[in-house]
Amino acid sequence: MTTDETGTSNSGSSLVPGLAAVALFVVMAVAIVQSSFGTAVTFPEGESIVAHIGYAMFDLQADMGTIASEGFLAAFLIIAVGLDVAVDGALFLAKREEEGSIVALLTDGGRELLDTAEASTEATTEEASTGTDTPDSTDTTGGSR
Amino acid sequence: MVPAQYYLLLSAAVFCIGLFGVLTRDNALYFLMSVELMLNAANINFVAFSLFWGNLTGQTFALFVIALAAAEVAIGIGIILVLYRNFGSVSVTDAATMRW
Amino acid sequence: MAFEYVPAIVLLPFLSFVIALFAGKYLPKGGALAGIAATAGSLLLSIWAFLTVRSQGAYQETIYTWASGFGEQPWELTFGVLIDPLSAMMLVIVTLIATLVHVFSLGYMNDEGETGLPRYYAGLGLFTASMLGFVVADNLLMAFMFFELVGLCSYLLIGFWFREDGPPSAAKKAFLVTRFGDYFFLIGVVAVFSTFGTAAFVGAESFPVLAEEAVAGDVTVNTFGFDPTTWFTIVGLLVLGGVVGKSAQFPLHTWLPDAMEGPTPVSALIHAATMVAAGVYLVARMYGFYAVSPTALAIIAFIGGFTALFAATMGVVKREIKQVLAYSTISQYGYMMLALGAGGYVAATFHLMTHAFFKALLFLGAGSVIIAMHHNENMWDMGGLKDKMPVTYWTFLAGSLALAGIFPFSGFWSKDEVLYEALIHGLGGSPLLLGAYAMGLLAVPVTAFYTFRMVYLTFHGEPRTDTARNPEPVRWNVKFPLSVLGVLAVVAGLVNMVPVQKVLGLEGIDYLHQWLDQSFDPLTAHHYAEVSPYSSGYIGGEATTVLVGAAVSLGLALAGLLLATYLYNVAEPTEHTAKLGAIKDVLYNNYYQDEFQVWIANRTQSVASVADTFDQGVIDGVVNGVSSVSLFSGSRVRRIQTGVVTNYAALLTLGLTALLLAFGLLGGWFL
Repeated sequence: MTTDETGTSNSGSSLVPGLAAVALFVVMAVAIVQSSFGTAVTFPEGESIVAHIGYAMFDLQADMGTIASEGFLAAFLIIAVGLDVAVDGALFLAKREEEGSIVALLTDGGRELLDTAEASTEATTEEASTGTDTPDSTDTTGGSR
Repeated sequence: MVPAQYYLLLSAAVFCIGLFGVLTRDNALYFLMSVELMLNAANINFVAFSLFWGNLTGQTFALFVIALAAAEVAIGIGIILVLYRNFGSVSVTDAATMRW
Repeated sequence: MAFEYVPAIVLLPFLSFVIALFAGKYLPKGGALAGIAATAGSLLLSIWAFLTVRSQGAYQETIYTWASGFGEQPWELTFGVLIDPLSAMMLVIVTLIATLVHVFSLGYMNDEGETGLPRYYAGLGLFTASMLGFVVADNLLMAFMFFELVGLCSYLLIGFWFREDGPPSAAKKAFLVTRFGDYFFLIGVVAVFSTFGTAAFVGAESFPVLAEEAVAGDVTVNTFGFDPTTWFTIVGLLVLGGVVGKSAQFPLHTWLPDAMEGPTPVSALIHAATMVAAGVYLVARMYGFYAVSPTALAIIAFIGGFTALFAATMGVVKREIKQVLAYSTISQYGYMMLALGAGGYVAATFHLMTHAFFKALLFLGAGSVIIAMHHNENMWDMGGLKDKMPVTYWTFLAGSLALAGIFPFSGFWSKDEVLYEALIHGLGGSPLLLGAYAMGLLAVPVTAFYTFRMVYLTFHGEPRTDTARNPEPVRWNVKFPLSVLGVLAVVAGLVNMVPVQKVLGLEGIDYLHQWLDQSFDPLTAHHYAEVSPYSSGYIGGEATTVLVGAAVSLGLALAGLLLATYLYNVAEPTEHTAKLGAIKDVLYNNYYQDEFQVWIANRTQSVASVADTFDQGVIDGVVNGVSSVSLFSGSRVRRIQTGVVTNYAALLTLGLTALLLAFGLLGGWFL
């Protein structure tokens, strides 16, 4: 798991864990092939699937639909709130640095922004130098695997 | 009609491809994509069995999964930004400070 | 009314303990005055309680329940007080002697310029408090707790001069030997609980009553598969283990002579009122339980009789005045055990009381002599002290006459009643008791002999050293306790003149018998007499038996006294022990009991070291092994926690695969 200077991943040596995924697929595939599900019951002809999904979303399937389904109004509302929270959370996580920079820019005439810019360039050069060290350390720790 | 096993095999394959990505890549952005594959593997099952049993619950639920995937990506991107800010890269192997 | 203050009887000396311990060094006399005030207060309250028992009868109250069980057998562990004639009498005795000992300590410790007085008075206070707590205890567990406290205090006080060589080791010996007995006592307490579900001394559900009913077949108790009488004998003997240890009965008597290393007032307290008396008192307290088991009674009687003779013979050759008294104590407690075993509950209590007075007197008298002799205890260095210290002499003589059992001093009455009970119950068809009686009778002349040997060597003849020629004078604080006890030693026998009553046919002068009959119904003397397995037999008539018994014991006592007079009441007494030949060495070395116990201890050492090896190697090894294995494996296993997300995902995947494989193989998915 070495990282070159451009930050892209060189995954040559890390294909081994992927074997676990392959193994999982093999196991599942064997199980699936051996299984049987009886005869299918498909949707009735001539009914609008999309319209019925709409009914199910708002708990109207019992009154208006002919295709069996459960009501999803509660789930719909909860997911709505959940998405809202996710967007807010993403904003919260992403926003912080910009906010700090802007405040710094306003108070000190952008000096700190320059400083951080310098520091970040230093950090990248530092990381370039330390980047050659990290493989050893990660290898020793990852070597137990 | 296509037998249910085929859908399941497709789903398992997609899931394992996503899992393979998670296991072999260390770029966090690849992770987000791989997780998307895994979620959609689940969606294939939902839709397939919805059709198979003639019940709309699975299809409706697949919609919710897509919505949840959107939320997950939003949070994931936020986390990756923080990750980049703290470690200077988006490699998940660098963020290994929470260990013994 | 008075009964509400009973806890204060116990708490006052405890308070003096606290005061002496924490503030003793700031107080005049090192806390002695607090101790005197506290014990005197306890004495007054005890007398009040005594008089209240007299007018209102006995009293029992549970004060505090400190643990209660649930389920089928809701056990309750409680603290409570039981004030009946026996405990009320004992309270008065203990507090009286404790008060006098405190006063005497002013002369023995303060005037002699001892250091560490606060510690001394703290010990005395705690000692008195624990003994009083033991006396008022209304259940066996509470009694056991205070019993142990008494043992602890004796350890602290015997080892008071801990910078010297002897006292610490004597203290350890006293503690360990009594603890050995207490171990059995503890098992006995547990056995009583598991058998009866209660350890109360009194009440319809108390364990002596239940035992009696169980033997009669009225109730069933858990006897662990034994016949009730057999099981009660076993339990009784277990409890007796503690009694034998504390009351210094054979074979656990060895600690008591060594305990003479402690300060003399402490010896007086230990021997007369507190520690040693505790054992006999315990048997008397739960006498109803022992009375249902003829075997236990016979063993008690036999141990008592044997100890009485055995200890008396050892007292004959001792050189130190306190050693003689120590063996006489063992011997006298042997008499009490003999009385208890022979069904003489009142006789034992009577002897306990008179002995408390005259033995406290003798020890305090010996303390007075020791002050005068500048702490030289060897009787062969004394002599002729009679004229120099008349108060000590006359009181000591009164105590000695009582100890020797000479008419009409208190010891005569009580010892005579002990022997009388053993005799009539022995004649009534218990030959074993006759053997115990014979030993008790044989001990009488020996007792008289060593007592008067001590008196003559100490007080009569010509002074044999310069110290004896110019003894240090003692003050009022020594003479006052001696005088009080001297009077009591003379007259205490009058409370129970059963022989006179029986011979002259008078009624109503056996006050102690009447007194001990005023208790709760199952705790009365005549109830014990009904329960006890003995019947009485007489030589001729009752009066004749009384006269014969008294005449024989008095005659033997006088014979011993006269022999001592002949041998030692001369101007320049010489040692006659050489005439005893080989026996002398045996007696000097206390029948090699100490050596025997050391030998046993050494034999058990290998067992102990095997147990030690087992403990260190196997038990500790397992515990340490478990911890080091989990430490080591933990330090390895935690390496899985790499912090790299990919690894976690890989482990999850592998785990899921393994789980699927397992389910699939077990569920036949792959067929």
